[in-house]
Amino acid sequence: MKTLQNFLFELCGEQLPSGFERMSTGAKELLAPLVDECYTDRSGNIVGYRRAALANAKKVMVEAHLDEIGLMVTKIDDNGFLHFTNLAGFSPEILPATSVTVRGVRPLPGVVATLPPHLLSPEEQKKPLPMDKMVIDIGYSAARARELVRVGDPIVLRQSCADLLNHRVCGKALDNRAGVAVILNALNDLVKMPLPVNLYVVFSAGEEFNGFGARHAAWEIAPDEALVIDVTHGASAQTPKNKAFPLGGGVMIGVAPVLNGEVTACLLDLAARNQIPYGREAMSGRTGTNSDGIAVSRAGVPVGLASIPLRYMHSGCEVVDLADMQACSRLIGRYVMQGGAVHYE
Amino acid sequence: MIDAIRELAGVSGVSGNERNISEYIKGQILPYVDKVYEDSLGNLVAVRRGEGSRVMLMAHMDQIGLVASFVDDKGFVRVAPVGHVDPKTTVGRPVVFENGETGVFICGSKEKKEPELKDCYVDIGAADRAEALRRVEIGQTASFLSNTFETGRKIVSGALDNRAGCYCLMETLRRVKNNSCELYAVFTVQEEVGLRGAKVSGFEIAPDVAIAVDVTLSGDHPDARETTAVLGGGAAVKICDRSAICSRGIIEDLENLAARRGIPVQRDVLASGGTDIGSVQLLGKGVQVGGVSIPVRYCHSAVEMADKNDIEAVIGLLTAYLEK
Amino acid sequence: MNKQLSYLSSLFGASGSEGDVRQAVLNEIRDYCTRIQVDRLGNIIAYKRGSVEAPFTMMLSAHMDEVALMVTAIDDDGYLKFDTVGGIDPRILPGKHVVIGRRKLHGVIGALAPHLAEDKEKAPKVEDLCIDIGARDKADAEEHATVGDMVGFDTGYQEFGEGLVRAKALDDRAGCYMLIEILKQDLPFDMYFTFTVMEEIGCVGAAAAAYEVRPQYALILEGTTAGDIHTEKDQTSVCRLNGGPVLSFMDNAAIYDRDFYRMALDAARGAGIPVQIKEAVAGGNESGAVQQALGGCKVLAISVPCRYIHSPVSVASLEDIENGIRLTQAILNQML
Repeated sequence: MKTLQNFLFELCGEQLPSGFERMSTGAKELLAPLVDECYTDRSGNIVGYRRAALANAKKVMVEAHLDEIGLMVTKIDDNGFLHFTNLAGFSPEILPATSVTVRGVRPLPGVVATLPPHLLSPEEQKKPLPMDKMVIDIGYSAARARELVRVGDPIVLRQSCADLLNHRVCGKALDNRAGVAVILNALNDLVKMPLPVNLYVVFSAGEEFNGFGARHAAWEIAPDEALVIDVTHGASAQTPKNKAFPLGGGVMIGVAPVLNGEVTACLLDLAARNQIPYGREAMSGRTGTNSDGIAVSRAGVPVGLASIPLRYMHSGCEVVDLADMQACSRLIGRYVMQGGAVHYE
Repeated sequence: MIDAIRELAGVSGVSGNERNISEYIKGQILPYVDKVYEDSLGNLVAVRRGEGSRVMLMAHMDQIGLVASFVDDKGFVRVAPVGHVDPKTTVGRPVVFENGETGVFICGSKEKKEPELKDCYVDIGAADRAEALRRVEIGQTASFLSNTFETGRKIVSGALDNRAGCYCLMETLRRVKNNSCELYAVFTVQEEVGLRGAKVSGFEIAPDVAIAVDVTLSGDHPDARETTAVLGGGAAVKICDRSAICSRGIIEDLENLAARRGIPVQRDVLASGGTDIGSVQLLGKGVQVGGVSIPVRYCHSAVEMADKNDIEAVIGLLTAYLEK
Repeated sequence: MNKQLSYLSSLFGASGSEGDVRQAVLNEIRDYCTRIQVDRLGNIIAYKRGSVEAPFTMMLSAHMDEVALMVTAIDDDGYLKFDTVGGIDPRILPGKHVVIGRRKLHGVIGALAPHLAEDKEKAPKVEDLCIDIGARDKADAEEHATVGDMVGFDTGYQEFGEGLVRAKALDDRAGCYMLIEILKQDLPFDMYFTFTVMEEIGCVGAAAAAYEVRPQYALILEGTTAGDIHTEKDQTSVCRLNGGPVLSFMDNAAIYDRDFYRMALDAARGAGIPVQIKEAVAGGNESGAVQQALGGCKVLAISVPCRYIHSPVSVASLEDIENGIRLTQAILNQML
């Protein structure tokens, strides 16, 4: 049987920048055996459906975004270097001397080129490089590069996962493969149990861009309620106290105006009653996650949010604690088996 | 072409007040469509019946401009921008209000280095507040005046964004013989203030495919930020911009068609800006989206410049797409 | 004293926590409605028959929520860190009294004594401020307050000056009050009344309400900012107290339907109701969300001029509010 870590490491190996989620093979293969039906919808979302044991059960949607931050090729210059722009979620600071994968006719390794300090003035070294001053070296001549790569091809970070101390792991795209992995793990635990709800699992497209995937899925499925699984900022040396949360502190349950009070109360209660380590993450308006878009789908969807603390978000060295993921996975399981939170007459 | 674009550019249609341009376009396209109507926000929807999937082509007909918000004691008309008005490229331009009153757009003083929009006003030459209020009503919009002319293979006008796109869509309607789809050609409103018209039109029509016909930035002139699409490079097939990531299927269809028909095309990856498909992409259960654009230099200035060959290529590509 | 307005404005209803306001509105309107429902987000959607069946769907809307604060952390010394719910200028916060959570615990937003301020030129940021509830330490504070608690301003309702009122949350309890009063009267035709949630965090409720109602026309009743605090009128005045309800041609969220706007101006003139035009393009309200929901609708906002909006204490004119009701009724009468 697969462990949480197996799920996570397999998922992080995929290269799925926003808008290119259809390139996924692994996520669907992992999901299919755990659900009754599994399909890719017109937006590129991977949707899994498990039927309720009873008729007239309500529809609960559990969502995590599948996509990761990405760049896009804008030019192949006469030396064979690739020029690029942000596709989704990248800021230029993390780019110099970073390894990347260019999704050309085949996946191509590349390096974000930098000038060595010997060639730079002290002044130049103080300023961060803007993205349009950087290029990617894929090691080919211009002629060959133009055969392999086209303007519009996407680029992702190239980094494998690794273990750190104390069941913490690091890698790229843990935002939000960690969320996808905990849902898979929760489904794995529920696989033999009859469900009190019709469960729709959505691994959504385009969250790092504008969240189109989750909005389409919520519209199409029209769930009675939804639970969004994402990552939140993990506390590190530089983070402000009330916006980042310690690794190992458990799953962070979102409390925010846009989140449904009943769903939130239910999650808090489930965590407390079942000794699932958790904390409260207060956000004073919207949440910056797919819950914002799902909440306003059609006539409104009651939505809750559970997040996994993650350090160094949107870099190639994101860090999460497997214990927090385990807590999140257990919370999802309890939530589904309880039949969700909101009860209508 | 130049005459048609000149006429289009001469009709006013500041965002939220598109009635004049809408009436004009309606008159031009009536012979070529089965049905035309306006929706609640004023989008002009032209329908061409056909078998197959629902295809929505969108060209926004609104333009940036100004709106009178306050008249001071000396009779200067304080204005707010409608859409993205860059004071650097618009200061000193003549403007015309809806009722025909003219004036000049002034922004800040010579002493200040950068003109700022909060200091801007329109001088209509009024003696005092009373005269100004007799001539211009609070809430009236004003559009920038410009000339439309040719230089070489290029067309210059202050309203190419997006009357050039409107022209392409109108020409496509005229030229397309047998559309292999249910066609909705929509001349949208309020694009420049946040893609608002397309949002309601896209919802109401609920197309399978939505394609925006708009201008895109060409950064091929001195000191410009380099862009993937350039003047003279052909129709720009949108890959992505800040508002939408285009569907792979549409990109491939357009590029394959262009290759077969010998229509020049280029890829368009834009690090800024957005088009009507940005709001359509988020609607309902999802729409396949794409964009076909005309590269334009000096966008949102009095001298927007486009290449006639690119405009022809856009019309050719859209026509081919509808007939495929 | 206007008891109804006083009561409505005294209730706490931060975005997402509108329960008390919702209950008060429901109690007030229940007997007058043909049909009433609370949707999944907490919007009240009420339907009332009028003299004739309407040939179109009409929606009148006001939002129930108000700007507020939210506890985001409790620090080691027992102070509450917070964030703003909706747009609040942090410079107005130091020294204000607040109430926290369902138990309405009293607290104050600490203000540094001017003697101790190092840099008097620097405006405080929200991150620099905290709420003092008198707790001994973190554990003590945690007994009384929780991360996620909503914090409201502790401001009483008072009528003062010449026909003015000072209170918290006039944006948009004034609108709720107007809507209730209109609903209680006989209507010229059938229409929907929506009391919406979460306007201050981005018009979340209005979009869902519009999906349910599917209006063709909508009137949004709102408080708008009055900047008439200078002696000289300039473009920062926007509108003034006692000048009558405000009609807008455009704001940051919507460009209002031209014909609807003109019709409203005519209706005001015809009925002899004072009305003013918002002389600025600023702010925004639910109109945008409703106008652009689904296939779109024609929308107009009727606003009550309100000084010091989005602060613990705003000021409005009772006459403007009553004229807002009359104007809305005059517009409705013109629509058939």
